[in-house]
Amino acid sequence: MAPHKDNKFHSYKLAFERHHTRIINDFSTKHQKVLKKAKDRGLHIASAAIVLTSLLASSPSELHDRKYQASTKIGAEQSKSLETLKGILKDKNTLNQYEEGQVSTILSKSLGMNLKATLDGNKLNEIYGYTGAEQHLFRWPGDTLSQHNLPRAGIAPLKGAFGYFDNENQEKYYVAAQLHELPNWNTDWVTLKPWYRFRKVVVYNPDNGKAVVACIGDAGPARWTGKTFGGSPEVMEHLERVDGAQKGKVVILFVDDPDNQIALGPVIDNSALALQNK
Amino acid sequence: MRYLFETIQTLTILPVKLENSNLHLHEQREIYDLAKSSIHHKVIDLILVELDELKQDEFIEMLTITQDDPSLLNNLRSWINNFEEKVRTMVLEAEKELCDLLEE
Repeated sequence: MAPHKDNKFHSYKLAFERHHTRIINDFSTKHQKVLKKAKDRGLHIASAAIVLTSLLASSPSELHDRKYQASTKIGAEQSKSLETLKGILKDKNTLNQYEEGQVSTILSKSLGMNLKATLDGNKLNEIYGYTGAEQHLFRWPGDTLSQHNLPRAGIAPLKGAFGYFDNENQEKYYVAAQLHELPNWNTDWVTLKPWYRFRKVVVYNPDNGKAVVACIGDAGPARWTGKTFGGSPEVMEHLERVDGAQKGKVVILFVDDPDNQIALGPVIDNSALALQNK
Repeated sequence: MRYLFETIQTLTILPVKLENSNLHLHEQREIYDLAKSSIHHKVIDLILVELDELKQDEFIEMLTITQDDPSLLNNLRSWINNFEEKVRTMVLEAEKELCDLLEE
């Protein structure tokens, strides 16, 4: 990376951060009462001010159309695994390495895919966390919102962190991950960025057992939002995940699929993998 | 991440300036996210200032349930005179302020 670009980014970032902090401080002071009330009621308004008051973020083109058929056979062993999974995820904000391994093993068997928390020595900052709703992203030059499903979600005016997509399905089933939170992102992004670009992942909603094969299509969200991931409109719709008080957590794992055999899209009929009692 | 104000007014000038800034895409994204957060707080501030205490509580509760609920925007339109116009003006002004940061 050319030195002048690096200085430019850091200079802009500092200016924007200072501006942001000023706004948040003013907001927190001005609306202290209502923010405290919201916090006391356990309401999260996607606001950095809430955090302050409390003191007080493929891979190559999809060539194959083959859908992966999830394993829906639930035997005694599978039920035991799901109970183990439930125990691991219950009331957890973050998972340790051992727990990540257990989750990967259980979901790999359940979904019939090779799922990993660490792949090629790379990992995400977390594999379990809340996911926020994202807008559509421009797929190619000339793309417009009217050409997307679920237009109500809107379209971001800026391209995603990886630029235009290679194909329609990558944008349809994309997630945002906190790449900027990786400890070596700033130093090694030149090699890391191509690795994470459209990297295939599985997104699993433990509450209803739904899962989607997606790709990392953007960087974000900011840590203070309280969310760890972002989901495209289609991903959120399939997982039945909403942004807001009803939000819940998802598990995201890399799909080890070197031959690119697994298609992006919903994993078929694995309601048996729901952990929440109905 | 998607914010409430984006259903009324999206940013139009800042993304272009960022694209022309020669920053890498993920750097543009990081700065853009900061900008959106700043504007989000300004818009929420505008709304809270216009509402009495009871409506503030109702608004916060609706916002946290989901900002995608059309009834949230409908309520704001009925509670605040010229709501959308005020938000648009606020967003455009805030965006200009942020664009000036790129000029410095």
